[in-house]
Amino acid sequence: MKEAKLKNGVMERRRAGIMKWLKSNIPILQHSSIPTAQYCNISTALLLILILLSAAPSLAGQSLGVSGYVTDKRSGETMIGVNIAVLGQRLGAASDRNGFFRITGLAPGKYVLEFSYVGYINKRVEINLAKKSILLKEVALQPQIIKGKEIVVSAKRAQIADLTVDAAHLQISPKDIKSIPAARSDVFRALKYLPGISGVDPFSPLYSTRGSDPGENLVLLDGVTIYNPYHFVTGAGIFNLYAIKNIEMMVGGFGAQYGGRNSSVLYISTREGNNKKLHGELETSTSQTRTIMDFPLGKNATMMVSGRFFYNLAGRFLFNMPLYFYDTNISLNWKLNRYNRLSLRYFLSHDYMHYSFARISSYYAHTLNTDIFEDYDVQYKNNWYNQAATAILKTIITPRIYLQTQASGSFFRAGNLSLIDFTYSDKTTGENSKLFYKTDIRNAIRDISVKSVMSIKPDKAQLLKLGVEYSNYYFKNNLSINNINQGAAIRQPAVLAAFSEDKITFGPFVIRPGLRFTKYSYAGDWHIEPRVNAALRLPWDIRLKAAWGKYYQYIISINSQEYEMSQFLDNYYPLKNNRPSASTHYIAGLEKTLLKQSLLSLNFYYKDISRVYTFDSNLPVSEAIGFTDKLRAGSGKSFGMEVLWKGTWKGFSGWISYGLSKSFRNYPHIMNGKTFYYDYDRTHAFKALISHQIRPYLSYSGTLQIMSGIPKTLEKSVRKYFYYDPLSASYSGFAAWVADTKNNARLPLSIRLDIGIKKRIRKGFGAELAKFMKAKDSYMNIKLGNLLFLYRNVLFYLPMGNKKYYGLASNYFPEFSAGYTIKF
Amino acid sequence: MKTQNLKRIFLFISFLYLPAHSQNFVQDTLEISFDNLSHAPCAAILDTVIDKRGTQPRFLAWDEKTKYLFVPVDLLILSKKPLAAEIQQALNCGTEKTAACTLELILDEFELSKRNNSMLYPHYRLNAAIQVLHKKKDGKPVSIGRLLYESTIRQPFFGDKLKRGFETLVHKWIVHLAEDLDSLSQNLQTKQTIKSANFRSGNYFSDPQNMISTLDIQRGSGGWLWDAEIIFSPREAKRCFYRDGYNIRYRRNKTYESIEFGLSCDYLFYRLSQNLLLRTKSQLMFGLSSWKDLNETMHDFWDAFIADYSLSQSVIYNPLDKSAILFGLGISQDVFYIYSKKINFRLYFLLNLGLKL
Repeated sequence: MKEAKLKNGVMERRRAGIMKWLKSNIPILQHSSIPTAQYCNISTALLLILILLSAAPSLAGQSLGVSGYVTDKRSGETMIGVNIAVLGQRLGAASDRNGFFRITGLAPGKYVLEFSYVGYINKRVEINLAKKSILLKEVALQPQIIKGKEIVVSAKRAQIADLTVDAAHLQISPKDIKSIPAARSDVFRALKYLPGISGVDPFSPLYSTRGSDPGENLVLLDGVTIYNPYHFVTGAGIFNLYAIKNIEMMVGGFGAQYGGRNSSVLYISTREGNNKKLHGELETSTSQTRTIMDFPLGKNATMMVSGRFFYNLAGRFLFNMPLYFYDTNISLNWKLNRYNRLSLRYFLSHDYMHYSFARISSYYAHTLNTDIFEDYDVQYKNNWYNQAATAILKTIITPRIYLQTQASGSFFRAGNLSLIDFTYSDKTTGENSKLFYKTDIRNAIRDISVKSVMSIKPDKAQLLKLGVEYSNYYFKNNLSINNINQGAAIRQPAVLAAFSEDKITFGPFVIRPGLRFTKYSYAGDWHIEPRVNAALRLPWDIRLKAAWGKYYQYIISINSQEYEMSQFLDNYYPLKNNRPSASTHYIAGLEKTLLKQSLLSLNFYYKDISRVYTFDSNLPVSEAIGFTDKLRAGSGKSFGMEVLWKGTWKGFSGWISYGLSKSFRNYPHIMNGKTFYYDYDRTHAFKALISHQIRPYLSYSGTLQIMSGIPKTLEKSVRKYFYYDPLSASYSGFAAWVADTKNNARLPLSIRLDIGIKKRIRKGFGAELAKFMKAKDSYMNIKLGNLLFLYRNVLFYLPMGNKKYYGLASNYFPEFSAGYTIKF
Repeated sequence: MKTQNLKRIFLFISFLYLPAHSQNFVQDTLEISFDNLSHAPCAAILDTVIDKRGTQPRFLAWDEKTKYLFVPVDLLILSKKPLAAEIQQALNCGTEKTAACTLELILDEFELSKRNNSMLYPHYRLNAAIQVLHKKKDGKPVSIGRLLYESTIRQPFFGDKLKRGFETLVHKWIVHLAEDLDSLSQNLQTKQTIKSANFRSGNYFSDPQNMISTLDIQRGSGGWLWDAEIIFSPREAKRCFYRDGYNIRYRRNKTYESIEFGLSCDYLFYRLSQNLLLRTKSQLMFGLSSWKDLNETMHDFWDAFIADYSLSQSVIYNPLDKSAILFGLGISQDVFYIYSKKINFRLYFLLNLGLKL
């Protein structure tokens, strides 16, 4: 008894010691308004739920299992989404994002596993299960090469999401992206060709998913959150396609593993590197050069280095106006031993632009024989940096338990300077006046995170995932007006989150309930986000899917497109004295395999946006930029349906999609709370990509996009303001165009048709260089964009007076670009 | 959107993807005939011709043409029968009774190309490398050396007569080959030294193609000119030969600097000795100029452009059939046009530095 008491006392002291350590090291717990016991209760509740979820099927009895990694024999890279079937049994699995698979529920005995993947030769492996589950050595699949033909792998690509249960899941392969002419090999441009995703305007890289704000999209690069993953220059994304292995988009209803954003998750995985030999690619054109090299580093390590450099030679040379960006990815992967793998990834991008109107006008002022630009200058200087680094340790604890631990840092820094400098003469007084206005806005974001995800396969019917995540943030906004610093605003929140989800299979029915617990340091409470995904397999290869989930966002981004001609940057705001923005997703859909390699999917969704924020437009600039708490809360909803047919057929591949959607918002301070159409609402969206691989060395592709125009506010009347100027003893005035209804008009349909040709080159510099280097292939890519340029895609209307408007378009001319790729 | 517009879009797409129509965008084939060649006499017995090119036996060349202004379409050039058989048939070699000796040919390379980058001399070119083996009485073939060929003929000014051009070129080459084989067999019989400009004795065999990258640094009354050039050159088989290259020029003087791109860059080489080459270069260029005095002087918009033609003559150290660091000296003459400065002529001294791989 005494011993027990003593033991309890020691335990209490240890517990208190642990809590003290946690509080001193994790800032989020320092200011917790919840008593320790309360979150202990929550933890206990979570634990109980997990035990309940996982215990029942495991009681059925102990069974054996087999697990291992699947790799590509040619490159040694792990393969995602490989099907593994136990012949003669109704058991199987697919390799996950780490290329790892697990099959459980096997009785002792001999089995044959069949590994299959489109474009690869099926492989059979015999196993003998005696008393223990076994971990296989790497299973390498051989690519299928038929002389003169290339296998098109498109219908069944790798997946991060679980295809058996995730409802609103879209995948796009780097190969698909290369075949979208208008994408110009850019991930973000390509995404806009998927259903449910639309660009905010033709010049901006920002995208809206299913009627949400662009800032509600989570972008992860190898699991690291990237802030503003866009280049200022060209409006492209910052990810070099050459370095990318897999791209997945979850446009809603995503599981408890992902949090912090309300609308979508874009997960990009980079290549690990070739462990067989040096492999490389180089692509160059008049505007950019991209390259990748991947190679083995000794027996157990690989490395991948890729880079891209965009330049504007003419602007730099003629006007001394630099405009460039570069990005680079480095990936190092070690197989430490049979059970542990370590990956180190680093990513860097930098944009720089300096535009000066005076330097350009110095040329044409002389040609036009005018001096009106002599003392006039407008300048923009943008300097953006994005960096991310991560270390990922993947451990096979037992053949049934897989642990992934990740530490990462994501850093964003932007400097945006604008200047107007104008000297003019007042004819009445004869005096020279000078207008000088310069703003310099500098943002910095730092996100240091650690997370750990354990996935457990207790039996053949279950897959349990448990995870914990801690992020420490630093946000800084600084504004200078006319070289006078207005002061910096800094916020340093932290987020602690834990999640659990369990995928349970009952015959043809699969359900994946999940819970996400989040504590945000600036908010008092723990928030619980329950999420459920379910799927039912029906005859005729039909699968019904449904998802429901609650989502909270603490670090929001403000939509500023009404104040800017084109929004290029997400303006991140860590909420402090405001409740998190929130939404609930309801999704139902069905999928059916048509033909051999194509999939038809139909999805219906309803999104209840219960809390969303916008700027108060009456705030002074300095207060708005300085993380003001005076945000205006509103609400909204969006709903719609999407049909997508994606697949390959006899050299043709691609997809056709149609989306019908509606999205609304209401804010108490706008039109007295009346509901209006959301800024990026597009009722109809038809999108098609068709790529025709005629020969291994020749392919044509075409994309067609027909979409409803977005709502716009058309000013209906002029309000005139007058004031008395005591210096000149006269009245002056100015006019402002006003409208009484927000988004009272809709732009006309926008249509875009692009064609691309990819062809092995036979003559000229590229062919001769490839021949000299004994390269495998050299290709040219020709892109003919905006072929329907005679149809004007209106961007906005300029009021011309007398109730007349001029529709300013984004597509007056067809586009042409050509590039050269060499593979070795 | 009007239904009529939608119809137009679908018609346009259908037109592009009509199966019969799309075949036009894939590939054309051109067959070169060896049939009507006037057979050249050759005293040797030609035992066998072996094709070791590693391509399909009838393959002669790839060319490319443009359809509908911008669509590049492959043109596959083939012989009617396997090339080795065509060569054997075309060579009117002796019979056993009259033959001086028995030869075996191994075809290492055979390449036809249309060179239309050149402004002064657009031409069709044939490059071939053939290993010659002498079959002794015991039947064992012994390699005696290689025949290297480069034949060119000018392209017609109007219209592309590719088939006729290549056939003429092949004919010219076969006659040349027959003459060389005849001469070889006679020399073998009389055990004299083989004296043919195309013959390389022994087993020496250089790479089929060199990449020559050079920098021409020029200094003259017009300031500095820096020309970076790349030439992909088949191995030398003639004393006097043409090449075309790719180049970029940086021009710098007191008031402006320019970057110019070569629209046409022609070289005429003449081999002076085993190590020295005389090079005459002609280049037509177009580029952009950046003015240093933008803050003081208002320039016309058209001043941003520059057009330029230049000629240069230089003697360059460039050893035959060897990789080397190249250097040379010469002079260049340059005529250029800038809107506000009109036509200018300048003379420069030229220093050439390069690398032949």
